[in-house]
This record gives sequence, structure tokens and C-alpha cells, in this order.
Amino acid sequence: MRVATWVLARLVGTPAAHAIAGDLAESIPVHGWRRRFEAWSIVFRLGSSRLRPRRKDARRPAGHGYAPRPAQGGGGLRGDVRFALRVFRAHPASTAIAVLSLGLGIGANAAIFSLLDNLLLRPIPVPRPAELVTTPTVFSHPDYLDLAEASSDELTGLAAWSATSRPYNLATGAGAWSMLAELTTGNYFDVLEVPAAAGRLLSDEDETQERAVAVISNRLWQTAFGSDPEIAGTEARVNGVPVVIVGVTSGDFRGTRVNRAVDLWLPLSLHPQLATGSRARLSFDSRGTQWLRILGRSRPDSGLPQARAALLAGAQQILATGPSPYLDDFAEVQAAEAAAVPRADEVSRFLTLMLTMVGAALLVACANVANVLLTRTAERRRELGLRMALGAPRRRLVRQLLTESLLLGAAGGLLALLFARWTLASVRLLEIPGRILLADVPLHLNTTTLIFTSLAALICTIAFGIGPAIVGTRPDAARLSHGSTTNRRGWTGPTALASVQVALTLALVFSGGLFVRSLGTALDVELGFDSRDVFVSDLDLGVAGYDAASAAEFRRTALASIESIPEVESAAWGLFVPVQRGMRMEAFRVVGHELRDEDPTDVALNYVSPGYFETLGIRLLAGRPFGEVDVDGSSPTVIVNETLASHFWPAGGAVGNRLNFPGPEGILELEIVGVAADTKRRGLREEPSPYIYLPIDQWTWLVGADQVRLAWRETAGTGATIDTVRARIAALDPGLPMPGLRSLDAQIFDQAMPQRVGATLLGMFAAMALLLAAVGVYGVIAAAMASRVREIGIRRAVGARASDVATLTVRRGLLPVIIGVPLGWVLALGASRLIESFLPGLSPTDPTTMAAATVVVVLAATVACLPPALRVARRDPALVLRAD
Amino acid sequence: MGRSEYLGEFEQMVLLSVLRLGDEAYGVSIHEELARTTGREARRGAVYVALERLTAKGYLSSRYGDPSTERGGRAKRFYTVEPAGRAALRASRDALMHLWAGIEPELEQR
Repeated sequence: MRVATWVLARLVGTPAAHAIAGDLAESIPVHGWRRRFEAWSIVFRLGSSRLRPRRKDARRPAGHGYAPRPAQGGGGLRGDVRFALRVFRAHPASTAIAVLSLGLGIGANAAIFSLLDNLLLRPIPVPRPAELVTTPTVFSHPDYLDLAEASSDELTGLAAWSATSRPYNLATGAGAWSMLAELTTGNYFDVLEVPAAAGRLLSDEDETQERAVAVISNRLWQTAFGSDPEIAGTEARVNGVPVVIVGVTSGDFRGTRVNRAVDLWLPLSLHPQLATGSRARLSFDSRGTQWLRILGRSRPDSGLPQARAALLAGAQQILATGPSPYLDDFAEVQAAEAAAVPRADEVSRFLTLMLTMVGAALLVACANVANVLLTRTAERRRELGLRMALGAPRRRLVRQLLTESLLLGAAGGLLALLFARWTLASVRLLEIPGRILLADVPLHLNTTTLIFTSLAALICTIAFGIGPAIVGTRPDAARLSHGSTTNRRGWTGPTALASVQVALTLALVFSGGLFVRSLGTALDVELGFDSRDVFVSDLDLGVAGYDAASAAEFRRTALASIESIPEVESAAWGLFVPVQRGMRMEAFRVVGHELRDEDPTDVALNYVSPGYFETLGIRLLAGRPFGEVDVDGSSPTVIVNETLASHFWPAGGAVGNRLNFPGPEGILELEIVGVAADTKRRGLREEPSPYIYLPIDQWTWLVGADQVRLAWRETAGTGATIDTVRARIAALDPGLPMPGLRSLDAQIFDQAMPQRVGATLLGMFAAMALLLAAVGVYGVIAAAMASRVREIGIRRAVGARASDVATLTVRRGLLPVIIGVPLGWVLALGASRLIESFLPGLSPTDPTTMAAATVVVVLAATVACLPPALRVARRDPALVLRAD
Repeated sequence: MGRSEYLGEFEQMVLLSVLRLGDEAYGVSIHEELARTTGREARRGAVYVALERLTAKGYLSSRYGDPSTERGGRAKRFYTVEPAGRAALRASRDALMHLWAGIEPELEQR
């Protein structure tokens, strides 16, 4: 909106521009796309009315290659620009085609390039990131201190940090949030050279004097605190521990790993208070407890080899004082940027695939632009020939044509930026290979992408502008200025271009179709439970300060509260709710059963509340679900799944048998009270395997305050209860965030993420290419018809029917399709090689998808043929002939 | 200025709307008045273009009001019809009325 106001100010003056902006703010109160759209359409109108003459040019019949009157009195660049704009207004359709094609093609490339830049080229957004070094080894605190001293010559500083094992709670008066955190040494931000956007960042004093301070990320500052400038000094609680937020990092910095976006940094010294579970036993002084990763910055005159040597020497010194098993293996010191992207090869393969696809789409787009410029030059040969005959210097005309190309490029480039921004915004929910959530990657367009886009636009336009400019102003153009031409060669070029477009588009649509199909196959599985109308959320009571007993109490109270909501049919707790990552296993035996080789001895398990099976719709094949009797102290019970039951009791009758299972004071005997149907648990392509359910209320000491999942089933399934449930939980404990609150269907959908990503991105690019190719075919026919107007007029005059002429047009238009489709098949097979690795289970030469893609492309091309065919059929031949 | 050019149809409508609104004629109110009386909502850009043109021709003058918070602190630009504008309106109306005279029955027949 600000850009629009600035442009308006250049057109009508600043006060008037502000008045218009005010009018818009008044009539469209919501600042969204609608207001922006109106603003730009006002800019467009005012701008074009400024540059065009007040009287409309008299209309002349189309298809004659006419052009507006030559520039009057406007010499120089300004005149060229005005003339170019008048040409555009005279040919709005083809101008729109060129600008749109450039915009979409370059925009898609800019979006992928932006991804590439933020993920692979600059994964750590700090100054001079190439100087940072790290190692995969995890160190103890005393070892870290020794290494820091040993490397002080080669490194400006060595910092240490520890990633938290689970998300932390941050609670202020305003709300509670769950986020990933890091505990770091005081010099962490100094080594990284991250500036503060507000307040201050951690310092050495915070570490040595054990101050309860915290630093938050810029992203969190914006989303949770509304970029409050008074943030420094805010009191908060992290996992129940009181801290003071002292500052905010600036820019996009969110840690040194792209797949682990951190929003909270705390000093190492707070560790004892914050740690939960097994981590609480870590000691600062013991060399045997390894928990810290190191990060250093080389001095400007030093480099990675020197840093590596210094750190290795430091390790040797430590080893000289005593044995240290892990230090023996410590050899790999690498650039932090390389370590920032896990599975970098997978990520780069994926991005290469995307780049290839958008590159193909760009080619399709460029073909359109070339087509438009070629056709227009051919049409204007008359005008150009005339002007040259009248003495206009060739250089002048070439400059004129180049100006037109450059203006097209500029407009296309601008559109490209908008389209790239929109593309990036639409893909935020996706997760690409390497478990990198795109929502965590800073995806706004940066300077590099802008430069890339401008360069691309410039190259495209010069490439396609120069050729036609030179050809169109050849000296013999003067000869051709007399009479119109039935130029057969006028459309060979466009036809060839359109054939290439069709081929590329077919390959793209086919690839996109493959991903869409594999998405369908991935989701079309028998889940074993009914996910409709079910909602889930995570709840981490441990970081909120609960212990085993209070957590169990909370669970009971919360469940009762939620089940009392009228629209909630049932609710339950489970350690896991399918389908999700994570699992627990335990050893077991069947009582009274001789162990055979093929028997499983470990089983995956889940702790669930009685309503679990009902809430998730898991069928019980035998026995009963858990109930009120299955609590702490009563006879231990277990429910097994179908696979386990049929393995040990193929004839049935699992219920009543017993399992040996480790308990708090020895081996327990669990009585099987039910058999549940198999379900998918961690992935959609799982093979069934043994599984057992234990009643969560019987194992409260083991489950403790671990993170559990809440699931509830609505009667209506509209999501109307979400806010109510949130409110009920908040009423019990306002400092408890509910991360991952969503419908179970959404959680399952996420499991098919790789296919989703491919389907979404490729689907977008394929649709785009289809549009562009259809436009290309349209352009071919328009060009062909333009140069054969006279011939068609004569045909009509001697008796050809309108339908004959229309058929002729369509046949001409389908020529690129006839040539392009076989070419496209070849390209598609090549593309499927690229995609193979991303589509497990689907044959890359899938004939159904190929057929479907072909049909789609042919259909699009045929539809594109219709408007020109109709127009040709309706044209009055008398008019056509007379005008010549 | 004036006699040698006829007012465009849309320009006439804008001028008349400004006249109808008196002191309260600014971007938003003119746009709404047009929609209300003609029954069609014009493009905002077209309204502003017409206002610019009419000002350039001397038929309208403008002044700025006080900024207000619901407009993001921006002032309104109020327009008034100048005598030249009134003259142009009268000339257009007279020309049209003469052409319309006696024509009504013709229109009814089709």
C-alpha cells in the first residue's frame, strides 16, 4: 500500500495521493488484498490517463498490423516510452499475455530461488556465516572450557549450547506459548554477532552470576507480543521458573539448525532449575556428562583448517590429562553452515527438482513472450517499412522496439515479485525433505531474490526483444511495406514455439499428476480407526511443573470437564494418538508360552484412558475396553491388538491369558481383557505389528507428567468445541499451552507430507504452465490468422462457409499440439526419472496419469483455438477486403 | 476551454454529483452518490481520473480538510464546482435537451 501511495504521489502530488489513500482506508477498513487491489487499479488508471491523449484513437479493423500514429513531437526516451505505452494500449491482449507470462514464469523461479537461498546458500542469517565452525560431537562442560581456552588464538570465541529435549512453556500475563528453546553460554550471541532488536541479548555475566534472564526471537516478539518496544523487563515464567525477558534478537535468526527453529534462549546456568526428567541429573562439573554442542567463529585471518587444528590440539591436551572415550573419536570439525541443514543432499535434490520444473515453466513462459514480440513485429512490418522509407534511422526504430521490450520486462518483473510472494505465502504449511517446516524458514523476498528477478526479466526481454527488433528493421522491410503479405513463413516460428510449449507443459502436467496420484494413494489406506469428527492436542504437564500425582489428577479433572461439554461425545488421553511419530517399546513374555524363534519379545505400547477406543473409533474384537476398575493398585490389565493376539492365539481366546511385563518392583502379570483391531500408528504405509495398550490410570508413576495427547470426538464435527475445550483447559491452568491443536484428519494429512509438497508445488507450476501454453497456442493462431486475413476473406467471398473457415483455423491451431504431444511424452519419461526417488511405490511411467495429462493438454489447446476460430468465422468478408 | 469540447458523459455525472453533495463532496462520498443515484457502481479509478480531468479543465477546484484517525491520519480532499463547470453543465444540458425534444415517442416504439 505504501508503494502505491508513493507512485500516486509521483502522479498527482503528495497531498492528493494521501487524500486518495485516506479515501481507501475509509471505504475499505480492512487492510487486505482488496484494498491493495483497488489502490493499484487507481494507480493504473491515473497513470495511463496521464500518458495517453485525451481523445480516443479512432478504431480501425483489427488484423491489419496497424499501429498508433508515430510519436508526435516527443523525441528521445520519453517519447519512446509514450509511444510504447500507446502500442500496449492498442494491443491489450498480447501485452497482457507477455506481461503475465513473464510474471508467472519468473515469479515461480524467484520463489524457488528464494527457498534455495534461505535453505542452502544462507541457512544461518548472521554476518559472515562462513566463519562459523562446529562439530557433531557433544561435549561436557569442563571439556568445553578447556577447548575454548585452547582455541582462543584461532577463534574469536567459542560458545556452547544445548538444545532442549522437549518444547518449553513460556507464560506471561498475556498468555502461554510452547516453543523450542536453547540453553547457551553467555558469549553465544557475541560469537554469532546477532544484534538485538530490542533490549539486550545474553552476556557473560548472565552465565556466571546465574541470572534468571531470557531472550526471545524476533518472530515470537512479533506474533506473541506485537513487537512491543517495551518488551525488555517483562516478567515471565519458563516451565514455571520465573525469568525476566531482557531482549529480542533481530532479523530472521532462529538458531543454527534450519529444521529446529528456536524462539527462546536461556543462560546455561538456569539448567538445574529448568531441566526435567533424566536431564535433571546432569552435572556441570563432570567430564563424563556430555550435553553441550560447540560453535566458534574463526578470526578473519584464520580459517576452517586452522580452527580444526586448534580444536584437535585442545582435545589432545584434555586426553593427556586422562582418558575420555568420546574425545578419541572427535575429528570432524565442519563449517556451521554445512551442519545447519540436516540431510543437505536430500534437500538439495528436492530443490534441484523444483528448479528444473520451474525452469521448464519459465521456458514455456518465454516462448509466449517470444511469440508475442515476433508476431507484433511481423504485423508492424508495414508501419516500420513506411517509417524507414520516410527516412527514420534504423537505430531509432530499434531503440523504440527495445524500449517496448524493456517496459514489458519491467512490468513482468514487478508481477513476478508479487507472484513469488504469493507462492511463498501459500506453501508455508508444507514441510520439505529433511523435516524442514517451511513456516520456520524466513521466506520473504530478500535482496538476492530481487536481483535475481530483475536480472532474469532483463535477460528475457533483451533476448526476445533484440531478435525481432533487428529482423523487423531490415532494410528490405521497406520493400514489404507495399501491400499486405500472405506470409506463410509468418507462422512457422510461432508454431514451433508453441509445439515446444505443449511438450514442456505435458511433461509438467504429467509430473504434477504423478504427485497428486501418489498423494491419493498415500491417503487411501485403511487406518483402523475413524478419524472424522475427532480433534487432538498435545499437553506437556512436565514443563508446566506438574509431578506424577498432580498430573494424574489434572488429567482426571480435565477429562471430566471436557466430557461434560454437550457437543463432545467422548474424550480420552493417550501417550500417542495415531498417526504420529514417536513410540515406546518394552520387553514382554506370554505367561505359559514356550518361546519360539518367531515370537516377538519387544512390543510397542501406548498408555490410554478408558474412553480411548470409543473416541478414536477403534473396534474391540473381543473382551472389554478399560474402565473405572483399571486404576493404580487394582489388578493390572492390558489390551492387545489383533496382530499380537492372532500370533500367539491363532484360534482365538486371547482374553484371559496373561503377559509378563516389567513393573515398578519386579515382573508383573498383566491380564488380557480385550483385543483391539490393528491401526496405523506411525506412518500410513506401515505393516501391522504387535501392539499393546495399558491403562494410563494404572501407570501414573511411569507416565508421570510426560507429554500426552488429548483426543475428543464431536457429535457434529464442525470444530465448534475447540474454543470451549481450550477455555476449559485454561480454566484449570492458564499457563498451559495447547500446541498441535487440530483435527485428527489434519494430523493424518500431514503424514503424507512429501507427496503433499510435491503435489502442491508441482500442481501450481503445472497449472501455470498449462495456462501459459494454452495462451501460446492461442497466440499461434492469432498470428496465423492475422497474416492470412486476406486469404480468408477471399475464401469467404467465393463461398466458403463460416464453419469451413473455422475448422481451418482449429486445424491450424492443433498443429503445435500434434507435434508437441509426442515430444512431450519423451520429455515426460525423462522427467519421471527425476521424480522417481521422491515417489515410492508409484510407477514413474504410470499410463493412467500420462493419458490424463495428454487429455488435459489437448483439451486446453483446443479451448484456446476457439475464440480466434469464432472470430474468424464471424468476420464480414466484405469489410476485410475493402480495408486493404 | 468550455465551448469547443463537450463534457464526457461520465464527467458530467461526476460534476453533477459534486454539485449535489455541496460541501461534502470528496472521493468516497462522490463515489457513493454516483452509485446511489445512477444505480451502477463506477470504478474508483475512473472517478479519480474524472476529478483530475475536471480540475485540469478548471471546472472543479479542491481544498483539503482536517485529518481524521479512521483514515489513517489523512485529510479529505473536498471538491467544489467552479462557475466554468456550471457553465459547461448548462451547455451540455441545453444541447441534450434540444436533441431530446420531441423524441420520446420515437423511443417508445421499439
